[in-house]
Amino acid sequence: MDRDNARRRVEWGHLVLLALIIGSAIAYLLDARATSTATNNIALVQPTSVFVFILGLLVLSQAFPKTDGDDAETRASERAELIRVGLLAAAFGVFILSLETLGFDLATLLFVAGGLYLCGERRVWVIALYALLFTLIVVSGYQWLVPFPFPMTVL
Amino acid sequence: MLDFDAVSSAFELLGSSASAWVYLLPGLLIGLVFGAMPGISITMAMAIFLPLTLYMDFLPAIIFLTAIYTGAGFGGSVPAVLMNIPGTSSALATTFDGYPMARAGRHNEALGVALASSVIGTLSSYILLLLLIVPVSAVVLKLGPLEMFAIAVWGMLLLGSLSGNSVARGLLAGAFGVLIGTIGMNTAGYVRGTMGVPWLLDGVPVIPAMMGLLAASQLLNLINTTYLIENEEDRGISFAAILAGAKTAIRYPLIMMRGAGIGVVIGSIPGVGSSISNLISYSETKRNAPDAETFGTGNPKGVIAAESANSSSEGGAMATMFALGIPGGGATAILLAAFAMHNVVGGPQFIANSKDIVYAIIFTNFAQAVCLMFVGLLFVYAAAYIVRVPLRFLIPSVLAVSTFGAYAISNSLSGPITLFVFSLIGWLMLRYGYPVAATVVGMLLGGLLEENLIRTLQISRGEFSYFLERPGALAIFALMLVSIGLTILNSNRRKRLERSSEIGS
Repeated sequence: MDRDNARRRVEWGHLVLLALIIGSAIAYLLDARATSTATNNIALVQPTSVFVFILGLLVLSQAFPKTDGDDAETRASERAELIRVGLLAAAFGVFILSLETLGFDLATLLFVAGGLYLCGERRVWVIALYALLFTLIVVSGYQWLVPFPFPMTVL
Repeated sequence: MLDFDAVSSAFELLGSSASAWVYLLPGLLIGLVFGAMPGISITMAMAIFLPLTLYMDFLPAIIFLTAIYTGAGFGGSVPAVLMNIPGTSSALATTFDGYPMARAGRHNEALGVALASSVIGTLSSYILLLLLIVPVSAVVLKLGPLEMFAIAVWGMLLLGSLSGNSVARGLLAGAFGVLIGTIGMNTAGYVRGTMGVPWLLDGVPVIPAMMGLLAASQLLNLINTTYLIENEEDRGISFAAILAGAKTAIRYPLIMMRGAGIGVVIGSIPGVGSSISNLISYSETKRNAPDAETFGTGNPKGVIAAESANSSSEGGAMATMFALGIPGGGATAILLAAFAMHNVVGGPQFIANSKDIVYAIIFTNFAQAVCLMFVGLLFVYAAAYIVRVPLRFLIPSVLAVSTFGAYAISNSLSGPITLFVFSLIGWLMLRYGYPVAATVVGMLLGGLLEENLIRTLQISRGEFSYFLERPGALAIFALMLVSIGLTILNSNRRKRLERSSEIGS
């Protein structure tokens, strides 16, 4: 690799992940120690948290990889991909949080229809028909199989 | 070892009762379908049909339930191979190589390998059960927390082989998983890491977390892909290829026997069972394989190791249930409930007084394994069509079904929320090259490690000499060290051979 051209870029997502792992290990250790410092409480948690903390610091430099300079086209397509993943993840989150308010039937219908659109299906009749049939089959199947009720609005 | 009078009575019992056989096929089919559905565990499938057995005689009732057990045990491998969803923790190691095989267009072969390994695993475990039911149960009674801790440590060795290119990232992912596995109230009654969330007192729901890390994260990643298998020519569904996969499995009898042995022994330990046996078998097979570097990228040997171990755990769990009356897990607890419904009590008395029934159940399990081969072939042939479904339909559908499954497991939003949180963490980990499987293994073993470490510390009062009083644990640790030593020797020998062949050429 040409050293003059090699620059370091920041992988922000990687940093977020490492911050999450290291941060949660520290928070967990502090919480465990606040509960009790008895061996029966921290025998595994303390050494493992410290191990995670040290490893996390060792890996930290990998969030700044060397690069020969980014191709603008690659960056644009990566951004477009990230936006689609972000939208689908957001839709999934909204679906899960709305399960008890909208009911499993309505929430599933809307999520499957929205998910189909986000994943590239553009024929409205296909989206509507598939979402409806899928919801009917899955909802009635799980209602039959599982011994406790699922919150529903229509079905 | 065998009581031949009881064996001939068992044959008479089975020959004179048609009803014993009538429920075998429906049981297998129910198990296959339920096992293949995310979130419907083997226990749940058996629990749903338990009330039905009230109207059956004792033997047909147990045969029906064990057929569901056998069918669901293999059913869970189908989504593991095709969609990276281990419906149960026992199918976790199947995803390591099964899913890469499917993505590479070798889905037919992978399913065939999994089926044949499951069938042979089940068969061998029941043969071992037939011969070793008494000694196995004697061993199980001698296992204490230190031995369980040693077994969990053995499972942790798998982290080394899941690390991929970066050992540091692999270890970090595994240790992070161990921490997650210890969240909640521990065995000594201390509550940590719950952030005030009441349902975290029982720990992070493992199955939804596993589905999120392994499957949902993959699905988010596949949003720009059109099919699970990108190359259209590779999307064929071929009976011949499934059979070829089955033949591939038969070519590795040693891996299968090792898997079956590990499965029976680990499966017989209450509370450990198939969720650990498949990991240990995979890890041992990888360590001893000359092509270890191809594990995780679609090596059928990985599928054979995992499937032979998880299916043979059924025989081990049944040994403990028959001989000691102790349920090793949910499925055997349901079987014991069926025993109770028919006024039969499991345990040493049952074996002593009803050997013919025990043998009859074992013999019908041989028949179940053979039937599974044929029914399973048709089942996987139909299931393989999933690779032809465009991902734009598959992604939202599987996410929705996983959510239903997560809710079904927890009976509250805790399952779906866990699924969502871990799908995001899993997606980030996948994107930056962290092995999510290592986190899942850590999560599965974290609780077991801590529980048995604490119990060992309590019993030993911190005295190291306690180790010397536990020959079983010492033997497990010694076996582990021998296994690691042999691996290092083998790998050095291979490197030397490669070097000398390079110099020679």
